[in-house]
Amino acid sequence: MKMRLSPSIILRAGLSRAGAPRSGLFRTAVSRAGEGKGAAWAPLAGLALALAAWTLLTSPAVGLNPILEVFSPARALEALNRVVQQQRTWTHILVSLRRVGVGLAIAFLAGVPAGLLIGRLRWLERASSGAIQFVRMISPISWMPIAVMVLGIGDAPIYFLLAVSAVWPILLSTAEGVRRVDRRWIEMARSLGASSAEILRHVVIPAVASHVVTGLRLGLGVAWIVLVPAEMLGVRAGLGYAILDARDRLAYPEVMAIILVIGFIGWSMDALIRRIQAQRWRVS
Amino acid sequence: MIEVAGAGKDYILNGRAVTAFDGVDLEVRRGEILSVVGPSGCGKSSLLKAIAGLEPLSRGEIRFEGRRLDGPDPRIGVVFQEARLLPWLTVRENAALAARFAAHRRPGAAGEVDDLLRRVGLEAFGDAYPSQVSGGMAQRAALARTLLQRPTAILFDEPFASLDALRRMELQIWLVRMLKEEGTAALFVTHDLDEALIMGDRIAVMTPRPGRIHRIYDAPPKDRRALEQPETLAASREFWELKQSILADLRATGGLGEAMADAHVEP
Repeated sequence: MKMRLSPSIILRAGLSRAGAPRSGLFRTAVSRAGEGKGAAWAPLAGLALALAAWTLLTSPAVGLNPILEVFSPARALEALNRVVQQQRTWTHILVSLRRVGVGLAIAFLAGVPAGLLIGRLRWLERASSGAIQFVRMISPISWMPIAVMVLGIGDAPIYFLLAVSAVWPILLSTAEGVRRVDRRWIEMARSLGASSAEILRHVVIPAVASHVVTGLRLGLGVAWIVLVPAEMLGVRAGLGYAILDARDRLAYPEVMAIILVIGFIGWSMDALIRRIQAQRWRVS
Repeated sequence: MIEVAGAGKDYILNGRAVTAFDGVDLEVRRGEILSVVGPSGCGKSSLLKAIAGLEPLSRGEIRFEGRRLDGPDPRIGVVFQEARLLPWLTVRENAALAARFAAHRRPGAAGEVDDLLRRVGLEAFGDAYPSQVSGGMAQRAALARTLLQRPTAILFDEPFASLDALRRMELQIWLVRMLKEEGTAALFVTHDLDEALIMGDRIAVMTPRPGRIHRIYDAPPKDRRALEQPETLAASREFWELKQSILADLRATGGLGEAMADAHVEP
């Protein structure tokens, strides 16, 4: 909750507006709290700034590279308007969403039970932490040749790559959630006569759920990033394929339009999960 | 009702064996409130956890209604120092928690919750979350959760320690009345001597660690009028004399100075 200080409170506390720094890296709590009104405009101002930078970088007047003009905001937005009215764009979007959904589901089914076990069993955590840290630092894209060799061309290697990208944040976040379960809640449940299975169901899993959702959110972010390069390999649909297809047709403004679509969908999914998380766990 | 015989508890702290309490013999009789008072670290809470079946004894045994206890018994409720409400559940859902467990699942249990919330004065706060209620309200919700067990005995581990003095006295009186009306036996662990005297029918005084029962006193009888005016009860000569005797015991056993700093109140 943001605290707002009225001028009278600031004065009563012996602070003056003139005394509080208005800008600079090191602001006081009072000056930060007093800036609440401007906060609503900050995201819009950020977007406007990004748009201005994009316009500037692609402008022939700046003269960075003449080819950049085809990626300008005006051309991209014009292409976006055309692209969203095409049936095949929606097919690409649905195919990509399905792939992310399947990849995320596999990561969830593997990551949550493994995270519950690793968070609960100290010896398993010690045994697995080195291997997990090693494997998770390998870019999921590195597995692409092996995935294609083993699983062939099509959806299967993409599901594999997305699952491999998303499983680590889900697993690690779940394990952290288990470690953070308040032991006193478990003691309380035992005093009420709860069995181990009942404690798991009614105390541990709900306590860990918020961490699992955080892991899902992080996993979704990584999977969405990995999706585009994964779809550039031997498939005939999906947003990654759509970018390659537009490039091959020399429809460069369309490339930018699809990049905007990818960004917008990723941002929307993240915002949706954050909203669900904020509503469901607003009190904990 | 609850009999503790020759009970002792050892544990390992930083690689060293420590005895929390030893040679404890104690009885909580049917319908009585037994206060257990002693300095911090004397093993009061460890003893309570052992009786609750949450910690195994190293020596001795605990019997409940004649049968040896080897773990938590659904007929014994526990109210901890902190309310331990689950933050993702409302006050009503927390109070109904026991009904989710097979040990207390019975037809109509969920329906009893509203009645319990009314009894603990929280009927208007059933839909609130723990973060939205005060410490005293949270403790009353924890008590409602315990009462849904229909316990024949309740173990209290300094349940009002985190509350301010005014709210503490209010809840002490409310709790004594409620326990007496229900005929529920209680073991009330506290380091606050005044609280031990207001709550208990008898007061067991423990020595510093390893805690042993030094002496058990009978408290002055508390009639309805005395409970309606606890300040009169606390100022009575009998109350003051008993308090001085317990303070002398604690001084003699080396338990004073570690706690009870607030116990030197003249009548």
